[in-house]
Amino acid sequence: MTTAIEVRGLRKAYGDVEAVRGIDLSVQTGECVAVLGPNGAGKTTMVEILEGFRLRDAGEVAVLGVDPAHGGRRLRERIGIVLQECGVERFLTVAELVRLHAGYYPHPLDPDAVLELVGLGEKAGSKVRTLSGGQQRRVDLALGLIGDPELIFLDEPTTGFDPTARRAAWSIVESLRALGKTVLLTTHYMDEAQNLADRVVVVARGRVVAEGAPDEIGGRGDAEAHVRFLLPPGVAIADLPVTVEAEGEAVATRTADPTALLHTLTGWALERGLQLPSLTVSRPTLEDVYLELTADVEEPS
Amino acid sequence: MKAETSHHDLPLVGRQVVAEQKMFWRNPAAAGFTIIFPLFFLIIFSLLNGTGDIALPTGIVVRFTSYYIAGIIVFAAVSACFTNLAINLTMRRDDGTLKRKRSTPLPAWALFAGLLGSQLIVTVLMALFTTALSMAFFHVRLPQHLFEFLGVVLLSAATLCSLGVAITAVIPNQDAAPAVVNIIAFPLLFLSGLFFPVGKGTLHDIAQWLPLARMQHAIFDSFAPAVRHCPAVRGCTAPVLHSTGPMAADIAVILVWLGIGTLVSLRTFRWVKKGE
Repeated sequence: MTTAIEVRGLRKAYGDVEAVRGIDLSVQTGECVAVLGPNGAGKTTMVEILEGFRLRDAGEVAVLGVDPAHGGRRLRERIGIVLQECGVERFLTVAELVRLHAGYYPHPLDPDAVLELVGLGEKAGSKVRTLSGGQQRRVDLALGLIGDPELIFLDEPTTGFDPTARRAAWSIVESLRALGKTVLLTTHYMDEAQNLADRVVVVARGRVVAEGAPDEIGGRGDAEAHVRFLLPPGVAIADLPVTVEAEGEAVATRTADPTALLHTLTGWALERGLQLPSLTVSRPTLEDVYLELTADVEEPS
Repeated sequence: MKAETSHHDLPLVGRQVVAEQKMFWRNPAAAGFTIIFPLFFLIIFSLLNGTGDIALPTGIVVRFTSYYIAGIIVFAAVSACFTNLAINLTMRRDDGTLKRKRSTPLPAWALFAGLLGSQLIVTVLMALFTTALSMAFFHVRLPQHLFEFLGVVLLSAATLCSLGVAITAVIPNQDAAPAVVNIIAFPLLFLSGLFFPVGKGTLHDIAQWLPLARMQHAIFDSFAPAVRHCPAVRGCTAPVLHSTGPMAADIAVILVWLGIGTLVSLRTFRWVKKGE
């Protein structure tokens, strides 16, 4: 496997404020990595250095084997960038705009096919200014893809989308991965990272505080399972075959071996013909882990 | 702005020009102000003063409309290349359109070449249209030095484009853009004698160092309008005004401003709004 992005000891300060304080990151070709972090954690600064928009103070950075500070046109032909809140030529039609951008790249995708992919086929002849916010975001996505990039940066690609549009965007990202593209994603949505990313990198205070597969990061994989249910009518906590504690109206317990615990518990209930209402078994969600990892970081207002 | 050229760059610039032209003509604010204002000024003032004469600072007397057409062409160039371009670029800078362009392989020079080409087209069309209108209705005759006429119009437009790009560095945000450019442009339009001649004196002397008076003068000379009354001054040979000599000085001053505008643009242009 080759490396698409390699970052070592990245640093960047604005005046006295150190936005990035020694980040290491490595993204393999074909991998989808989600960067999570509170606002002001340094993730935008890091991504913009990778994209070539900002210059670093220190550290080694290689994007597709090239230093983005000096990558110029050749590197930009190989990457696609979907920025946050970014203007566009509003008096062109969707098709005109995508064709114009296709002309910037040596081997672009077919503009009509890209518009179909992002679900704007019907809107090809409409002026960009007449589109809804979600449709304009899909234009952003189309412009990021049109050059058939090897590596795609997606900066909060579904912010402001309704749930249907988000699912549609996710399926686009999944289809990119099926084509072997490398994706670096920043997002505030944990379910987005959970669904799309092979690996999650949590950035806080200008450093990487945790990284790993979405199901394993922050000890999620080994964490105790949380078993929770409502007491059946006429049953007291002391009657149960397992030790539980009251948790609101329900009762709950934590166990490293949920299989055995559930066997005991459900066997006991079946023998007595009882239901265990609202029975759930859960592990800490990505959001739980994320909040724990970034707990001491204050969100700037 | 590093230039990395390749074989398909010429069509690339062509496509940028076409896209800029579409955006210009489809935007009612841009097209309206740039086209309507100069035409409005031309028609109103030509109707008001249509049969009158006007004395130049040199004492030479020409028909008012012969004088006025040169000023209107410069005004149109200022509208298209300075005012419109500066406001347009500030909006694109603030809303992130320029940042997006930077995220693509489109070279910076190709983006600006497209803008320049588009504004030159608008300016030349306006110069030809206002001239045709003045010829049809206001007794103005065809520019006697057509080659010089087109050359000066193009050079003036390019110079004003460079100044339009340069001025964006001092425009804080898009809300302030119209105020900043108009506060600079309008006093200069009057000081430079675009709408009526400024008599010899301090103002006139200052204007000679600024680009607009020189553009007006060079375009006026390329028209070589009929002289109505000729005082005893050198270079006036009624009935036709021949003054090819001073045009070299006009061109020199305009070229200096083109150089200033280009240098300032290259050094100070910002791709993103302040604070980003």
